[in-house]
Amino acid sequence: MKQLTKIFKTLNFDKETQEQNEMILDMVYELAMNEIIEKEQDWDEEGAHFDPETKQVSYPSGMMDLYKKCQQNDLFSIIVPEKYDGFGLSYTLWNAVIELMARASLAFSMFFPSQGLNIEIINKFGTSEAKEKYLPLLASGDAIGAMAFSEPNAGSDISAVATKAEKEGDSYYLTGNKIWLSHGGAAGTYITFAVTDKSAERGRGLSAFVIDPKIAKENLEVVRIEEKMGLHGSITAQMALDRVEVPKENLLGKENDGLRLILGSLASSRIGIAAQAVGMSETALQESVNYSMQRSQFGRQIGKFQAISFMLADMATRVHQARLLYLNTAQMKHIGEDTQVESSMAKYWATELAQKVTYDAVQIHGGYGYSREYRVERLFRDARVLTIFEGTSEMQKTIISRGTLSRAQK
Amino acid sequence: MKTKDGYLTLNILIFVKATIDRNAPLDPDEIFPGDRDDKSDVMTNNYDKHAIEAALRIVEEKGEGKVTAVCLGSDMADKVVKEAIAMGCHGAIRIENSEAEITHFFSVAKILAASAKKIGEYDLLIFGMQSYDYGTATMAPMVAEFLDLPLACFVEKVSLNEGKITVEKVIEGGTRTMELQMPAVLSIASTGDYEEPRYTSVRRIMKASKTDVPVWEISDLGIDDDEPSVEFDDIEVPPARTEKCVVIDEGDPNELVGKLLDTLKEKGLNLGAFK
Repeated sequence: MKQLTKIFKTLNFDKETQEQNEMILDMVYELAMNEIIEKEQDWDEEGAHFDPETKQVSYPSGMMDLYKKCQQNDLFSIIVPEKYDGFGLSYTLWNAVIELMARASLAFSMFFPSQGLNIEIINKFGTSEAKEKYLPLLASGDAIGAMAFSEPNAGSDISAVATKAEKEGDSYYLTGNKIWLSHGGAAGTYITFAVTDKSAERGRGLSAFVIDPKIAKENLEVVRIEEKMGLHGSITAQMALDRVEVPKENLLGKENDGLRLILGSLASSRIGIAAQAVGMSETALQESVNYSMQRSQFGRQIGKFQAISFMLADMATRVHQARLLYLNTAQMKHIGEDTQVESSMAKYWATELAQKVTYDAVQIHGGYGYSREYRVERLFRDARVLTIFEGTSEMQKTIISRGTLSRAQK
Repeated sequence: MKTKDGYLTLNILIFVKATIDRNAPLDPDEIFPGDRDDKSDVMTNNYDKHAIEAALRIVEEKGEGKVTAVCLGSDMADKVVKEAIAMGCHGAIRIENSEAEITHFFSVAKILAASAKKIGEYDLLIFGMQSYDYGTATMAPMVAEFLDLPLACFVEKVSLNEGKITVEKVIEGGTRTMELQMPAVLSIASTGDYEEPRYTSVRRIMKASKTDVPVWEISDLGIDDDEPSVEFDDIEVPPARTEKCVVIDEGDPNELVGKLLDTLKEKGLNLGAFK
């Protein structure tokens, strides 16, 4: 925690805001480290639930009780503008909150980055009706924000989406399949995009929408949830859209401008994924430090052997480096700079470093690290998804190299 | 505050203490918050959070009232008074304690009692059951004595009725119910109704950061004798223990007893009848 607050002191916040930041981080740290981390193993073992009869999904036991505490503590309203029941605080603080949540549980921290992206996209591109309706719900956490982008044939190549939207009267009707939906079936808003102009060039005829499940009713249905390598506590759903009604006020931006709008916004949630990677890496480091001071072999604590202590030094340096990257990018965004390339750098680098840090954590724990009883086993499994979701490392490198090359040409 | 109809406005004073964060590195030369340079080394005494919870719940259940946090400390304690407001207290007062850093319990109790007198209007004075650092659990009894008020310690449950307060307090092996005339002094247990203190919230943190906390000087409290009754001379870390544990667990039980007695004899222990 000290490392995090130390970096905050270097950022250009006035005294009052700095005090608010520190108090909010203290509160989140207490909630994460006293309550959420205790449940993390149970959530991993129990996993999320899906009932094929009723098509209902649910989170593992006790997760929603802690979600309610986040609501009571106003955590979802941090970046929502004051006009819509929020506090208009910085993206820097928001992402530091994500780091602290991910220190306790990656599955639990999944409530935050997608909430942030829903808030940001609706605030930036939503109609005034959509803003007034959804932003207060997202701020209070009464609506969980989800993103429905991927499809069976549209993953990294997101422009290949096949879901179509037909306009009839004052509404659009969306039909198609969406996969890898975090919180699918439990969310209160889904940001998605669909083809509105079939004749347009690939990627040019897509429009972005907010799906409201209260309007969509049974036409928006969970088909199944995924059994995953890690991240068991979080719902990852496949959903079918069968003429899902979306009123025209829920169109985001202009018709046929959806791809540009969504791709432009993803940079923001990528900072959050970098923050998640740092949170998990920090916990892997702490677990390794504690274990290496407590475990003795050959008559001394293993942390006193150079082989282990140098591994710890590398881990600590990687965590610090990744933390500087995401906090700096978030601060850049907070002061209004474009962070398209830097967000990808933070996401790419922090998530790759997390692979190495969690790998070394298992190595330091030896055989115990391979046992489910120890936290590092879960951290290692959970961390694997970080270089894949919200754009693979390879897609990040594509974005970074394009940005770098275009600078060279100018 | 008393009116002829009973108690209309309930005024509660809650006394909070700044202690060194239990996660901060230990240093025998820096055991008081004022010794530290880094605010992040300081935290609210965790037992006081149960007391804040109790005060807020009493006011919420009554439907009206005011909770004021009082803290004796240097500016390192600003964080603690702000946290009290961010938990829901309506206001706070810090009593400056930077120069001589008065830390002895008796002197602190005298100052806290004098500050209550200066505030003037109070129905309940509430304390945590003890402090996280010294854990003497003496502050509530001493303040009650100085102000000549009824006292109940280790309180788990509170109900108000017509200027009186009924409490359930922890005693060895059970609980005891007591009725006290208000104003009264309570120390709140970390178990029972107030076991889970509330968190701060973003909304209340925003309010707290905009709230001015008045700072009082000890010299304005009208204490005739402010000489500390006890002063700390030096505080040291005890030397590390060098004894090792010897385990005698293999072989015939009768022989093991013999071995154990021999070992104890070797160490020069008086074995009485077992010689």
